[in-house]
Amino acid sequence: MHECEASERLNQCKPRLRSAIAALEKSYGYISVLGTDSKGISFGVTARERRVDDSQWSERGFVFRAQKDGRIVEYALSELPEGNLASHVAARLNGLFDSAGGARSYPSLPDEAARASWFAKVAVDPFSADPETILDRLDAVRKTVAETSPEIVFARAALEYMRVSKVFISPRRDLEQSFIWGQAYVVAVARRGELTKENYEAFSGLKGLEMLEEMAPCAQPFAKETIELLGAEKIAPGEYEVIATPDITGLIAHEAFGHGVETDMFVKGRALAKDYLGKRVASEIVDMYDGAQGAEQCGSYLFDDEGSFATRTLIIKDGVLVAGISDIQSALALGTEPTGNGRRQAFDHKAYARMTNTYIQSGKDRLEDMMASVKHGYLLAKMNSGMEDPKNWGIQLVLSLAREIRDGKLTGKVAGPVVCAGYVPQVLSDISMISGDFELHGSGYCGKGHKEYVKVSAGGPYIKTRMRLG
Amino acid sequence: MMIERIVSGLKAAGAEDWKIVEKRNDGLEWYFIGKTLDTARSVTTASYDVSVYSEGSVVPAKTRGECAVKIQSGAGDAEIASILRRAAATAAAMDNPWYPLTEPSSEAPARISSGFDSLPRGEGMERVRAALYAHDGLDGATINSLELFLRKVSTRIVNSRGVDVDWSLWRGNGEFIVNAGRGSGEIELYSEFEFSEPDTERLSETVRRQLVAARDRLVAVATPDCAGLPLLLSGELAEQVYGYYLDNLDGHAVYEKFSNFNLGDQVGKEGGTGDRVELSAVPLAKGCPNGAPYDGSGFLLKGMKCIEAGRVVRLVTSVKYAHYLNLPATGILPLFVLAPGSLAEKELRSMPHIEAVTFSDFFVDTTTGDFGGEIRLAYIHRDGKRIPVTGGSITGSVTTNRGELLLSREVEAKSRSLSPVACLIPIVTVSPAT
Repeated sequence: MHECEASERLNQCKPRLRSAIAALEKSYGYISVLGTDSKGISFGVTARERRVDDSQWSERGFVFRAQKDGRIVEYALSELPEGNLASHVAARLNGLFDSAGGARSYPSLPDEAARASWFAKVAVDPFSADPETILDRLDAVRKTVAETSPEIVFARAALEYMRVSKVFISPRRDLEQSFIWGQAYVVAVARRGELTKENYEAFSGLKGLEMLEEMAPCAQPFAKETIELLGAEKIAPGEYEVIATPDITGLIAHEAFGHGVETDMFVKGRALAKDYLGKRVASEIVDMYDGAQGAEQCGSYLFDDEGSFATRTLIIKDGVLVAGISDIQSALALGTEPTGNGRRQAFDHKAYARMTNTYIQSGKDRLEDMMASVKHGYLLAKMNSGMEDPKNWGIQLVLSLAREIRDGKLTGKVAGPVVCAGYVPQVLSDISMISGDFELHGSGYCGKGHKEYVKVSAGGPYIKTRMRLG
Repeated sequence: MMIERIVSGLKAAGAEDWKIVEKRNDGLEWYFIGKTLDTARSVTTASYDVSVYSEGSVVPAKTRGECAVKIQSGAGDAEIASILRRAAATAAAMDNPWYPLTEPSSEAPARISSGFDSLPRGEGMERVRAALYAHDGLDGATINSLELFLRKVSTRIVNSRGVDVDWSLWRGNGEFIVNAGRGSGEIELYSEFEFSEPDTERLSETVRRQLVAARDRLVAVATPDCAGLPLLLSGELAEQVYGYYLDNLDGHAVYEKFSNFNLGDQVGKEGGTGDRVELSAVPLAKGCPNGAPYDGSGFLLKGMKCIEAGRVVRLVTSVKYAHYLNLPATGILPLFVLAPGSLAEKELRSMPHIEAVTFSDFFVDTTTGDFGGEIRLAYIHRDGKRIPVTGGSITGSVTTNRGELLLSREVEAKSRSLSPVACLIPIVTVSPAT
C-alpha cells in the first residue's frame, strides 16, 4: 500500500502560519487558518485525441477566519505575501469588520485543543504511474465501446485523481490530512437519424490505479445500454411502483433528506425538516446516515474545512428524523454540536453545511422478490441530475434510463429521459422493501443550489417505493 | 514576476512552444439572512494555467503534443521547474494530429467599460444590495436570504508565438431566495442572477418578479392535464434553450462528431411554421457578464454570423479545431446574438399556453436536445384565464421542435446573449401533478 505524503508546500508554510495565528490571537476573539494544497491529474482518450493534464480541481491557498464582538469574517488568498503576514491579514480582516458593522453576532467559535493527522493509503499510487500505460488502458475501454456499433458516433474514456492535502491551525488546534480520491468515466454518444442519445458509466473511490481494473468489464454492457437508449420511449405520465438501483437510492437520500437536513438551511428557515425532528418522515424500515467517517468513499476525511473532526450522523432512525448535519456557524446559531460537515468548494469559497457520504442502510429483502412484487412499474437505472427542495419537500430526479417492469419481469422496454418527482415524506414513507445490497458511488459533485461544488458519495441498497414519472 | 519565472522555467525545460494564462481575482462577498449581514468575505487570488506544446514528425504526418498544468501562485523556482519538466515530457509523448498555435493579432480588440470601473468596490456592492432589496416585502413576499459576489477578474495570456494580451472585466453574481406565506404554508423560490454593470433597475426588477411569483405560488393549484398547450419560456430559461444552437456550432463538437450540426445544415425544417433562426456569435455585449475580447488561447475575437436564414454558415472554432476541420478560425466566441422573431411578446402571450416561470432544476442537454424539469411555478393561459400551477413536470426536445420555435420580437441582454425575451415551444409533454 502507498501512503499519501504530506504537502511539502504546506509544511514549509506552517511556521509562518503558526506565528501569524499567535500574533493575531491577541486582536480577535477567534482566529484560524485553513491551508489547502490539492493536486490532480486527468487522463482522457477519444478516437482523435489523447491528453494528460492537471485536474481543474487542483488548488492551493489559505483562508483566515476571525471573530470579533460576535461577528465573523474571512479573508482568502492564494499566496502568502512576503513581510509581516499577521499585519497583512489583520489589515484585510479589519477592513471587513469595519464594513460589517451591523452584522449578525454569533456565540464564540469553538477552539478545543487537538493535534491530529491522517495520511490515507491506496493500493497503487497513480502519481508515479506511466501516463502512456494509463492512456493505452483507457483507449482499450474506449475502443470496446466505440466498436460495439456503428451507431456509436463518439466515445471517450477518462480518469482523474486528486491528492487532497489540508492543514488547519488555530491557537489550540493543529490538524493535517492527505488523501487520494479517484474517478473515471466512459461517455458515449449514439445517433440514429436525427435522434441523438448520450450515456455515461462512472467509477470512483478513495482509490489509485486499481480503478482501471473495474472499467474494462463494464465497457461492452455500457455500449449496449447506449444503443438501447436510441429505442427509449416517452413514459406515459403517472404514478408508478419503482425500484431504485443503489445509485438512484443514493440520489433520493441525497436530495430528499441530505440537503433537507443541512442545518444552515434551518438557520435561514429554509428547511421544513427543522420542525420534524423526532417525527416520522419515512417508512419504519428506513435508516439513513451521512458522515465523512461513515464509509470509505470520496466524501471521507479526518477533519472538515472548519477544523471540526468528521463524524457519522444517523439522520433517520426507524423512519423517524433524529438529527441534521452541521457546519460550525449554523451549530452555534442553533445551539447544537457541529458534526464535521463544514465544507468549502475550495479555499476561496465559504464553508457551508454539506453532505459527505450519504446513504440508506441495507435491509433484508432480495432483489428478485422486489422485482416479483411489481405489477407495472419501472427500474430506475441511470441518473442525470437531482435537485432538492427542503422548504417544500419536493424532489426532482432526472434519469436518462428507466426499464419497464410488468408482472415482476423486465419487459425490455426502456424510457428516457424521465423526470421523477414526488413529495419527499410520501416517497420515503412508500418505501416498502429494501434489499441487502450496498453500494456507494462518488463520481459526482454536489452543489448547494447551483454552485459550491464538493465531492460527495451517495448510495445504499435497492429500494422499492412509488414516484410520479413523466 | 511570476510570468517571467514561468517563462524561465519553460526555457529550462526545453519547451519551445507554450502558453501562460494568468488570472487575478479580487472580490468581495456578502451573505445576508433576511436583511442582516451574516458574513463578509474578501478574496484575492492569482492562478497560472500553463500549456506546453511539442511537435513530432511521425510518418506520414506531423504530430502535436499538449499538456496543460497548473502552477500555483507562490510556487518556488524548483517546484515550477519540476512541474514544467513533467509537462514537457508528457506533451512530447502525445502524438495527436498537428495543429498551429495562436499567432498575435495587430487589430484592436473589442473593449467594453463598466459602471463599476468608477466606483469603489464597497460602494458598488452597496448599490447592488440596495437595488435587490428595493421591493422586499412586496405583497407580503420577502427576501429570505441573499448571497452577493462582485469581483474584478484580470486576465493576461502570453504565448511563445508573441501573443501578449490582457483585459479586465467585472463579474457579479449571486443568488436569492424569496418567501411568501406564513407558518407551515410558507413557500420559497430560488433564483440566481449575473451582472457586469451596476444596472440597479434590472436587478430590482429581477427580484420584484420573483416576489410576485412567490406570492402566486402560494395560491397555485396542482398542474392539471395540459395536453396540446405549447410552452412559453422567457429570460434565462429561454436562453438555455437558445444555447442549444451556439453549443452545437462548436468546432470541437463537430470534429468529435457529437454535435448535431455541420456547415450547410438547415437547423429548421422545410414547411416549419416557426421563426427562422439567425444567430451571430460575439465576444462582448453590454450587460452580458460572460464576454471576453480574446478566447482562452489569446485569439482576438470578432463577431461572426453563424446561422443565416436557418442554415449553418460558420462554425465557432478555436485555431486547433479550425485546422482539423479545414475552416477559418473564429476563436471560441462566448456570447451570441439571436435575431428577433416575427411576433411581439404580447402576441405570443395571447395564444393559449403554459408559461413555466421556475423549475426545480431546468435542464437542456445540448447533445441530445432534450429539456425539462419539475414545475415549481407555471401559469396556464387558456379560455381568457391565467391560472398559477405547481408540481408535475415538463419534458421536450429542441430537435422535435425543429422549425416550429416562435421567438418574440423584443430582445434583451441575458447572461450569455442578446436574444428574444420569450419563445413559444409547441411540442412538449406536461405531466400533471396528480
